[in-house]
Amino acid sequence: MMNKIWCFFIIISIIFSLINGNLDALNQSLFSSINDTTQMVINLFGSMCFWCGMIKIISETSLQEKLKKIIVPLNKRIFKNLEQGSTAYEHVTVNMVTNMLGIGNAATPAGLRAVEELEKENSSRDKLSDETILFIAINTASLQIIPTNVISIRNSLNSQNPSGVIIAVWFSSILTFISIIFLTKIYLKLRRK
Amino acid sequence: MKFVQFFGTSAILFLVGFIVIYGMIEKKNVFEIFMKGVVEGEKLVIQLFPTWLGLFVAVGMLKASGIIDFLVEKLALILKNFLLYKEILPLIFLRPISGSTATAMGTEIMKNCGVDTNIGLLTSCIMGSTETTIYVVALYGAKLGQKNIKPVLVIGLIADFLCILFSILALKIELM
Repeated sequence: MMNKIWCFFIIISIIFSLINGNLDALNQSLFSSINDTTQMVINLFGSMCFWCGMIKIISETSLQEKLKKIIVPLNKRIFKNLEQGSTAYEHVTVNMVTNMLGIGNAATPAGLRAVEELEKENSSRDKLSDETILFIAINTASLQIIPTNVISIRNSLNSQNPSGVIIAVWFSSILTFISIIFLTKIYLKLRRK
Repeated sequence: MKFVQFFGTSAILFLVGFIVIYGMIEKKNVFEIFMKGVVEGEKLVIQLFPTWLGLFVAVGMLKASGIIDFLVEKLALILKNFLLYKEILPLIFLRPISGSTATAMGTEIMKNCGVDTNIGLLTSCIMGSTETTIYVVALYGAKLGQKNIKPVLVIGLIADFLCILFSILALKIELM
């Protein structure tokens, strides 16, 4: 999909610019964008690396296990029919913890294995099981403890207070997370009827 | 809301201190582990660089061509309620599709409107509290084959919309 979008962006810019008669500005923006990106990446580099370092410490100490334990009671509530200690359960937990730590690269493989396991017990051919729907829906929410990306970008733009948005991000993520569970449960109730 | 702001500023410091002390208590080579993580971070940035470069240039061109302003103006007429924050409209539309494009767009908005203004804060909050819904659903959808995944997509997109409202609420009650 991104292949098409990218080409579309460039082509439409040139066409629209031709109509608008501001080709000069477009030409300038091409070169300034290249420079700006390089500058931004240099500014971002240190910050990103630093947070990756911090997250690595969490994942190499028992803090990661502790996080899993915090999630267990939460998971019990959310996935009522899921058997504890099953393979599916393990993958679901790993996916959630890695998402919380913001390690998307580790979260995705665990997530894919989780849905595989969850669907094994599903006999329906065209319908996803309740647990799978809930699990994927939860994955469309952001659960990050440290929103590293945003903090790094704010830092690179010389913000007065790069991490000042963290409470607001938590507030909004948690409310969104709760809404997703709520919406999914309503949908699943309607589906059963 | 002074307290919230104080906590918001120092939360990261406490977190860093806590992580480091925790590592020390467990007698881990904290600095070595940290450096290993940094190497992973380096790889991540280098891995992401092609996407960033490509998309920043494309988004920069889109902006310079004037088409975004044109579309946003038209849309803002329709969505009068969002008029106050119309600068974030491009971000809202790109966020569910592609994480890196949304990052580029969000950075662009913060650069233009100021990173610590209401718009800048709102942009940060939305970027931090949403996921690339369509991408996630497509990813799992591809894995699951023919099963009907559309309901999840609808739920995810409704939640994204709610998240924007929650972010505006967070701004209004001065959480940031």
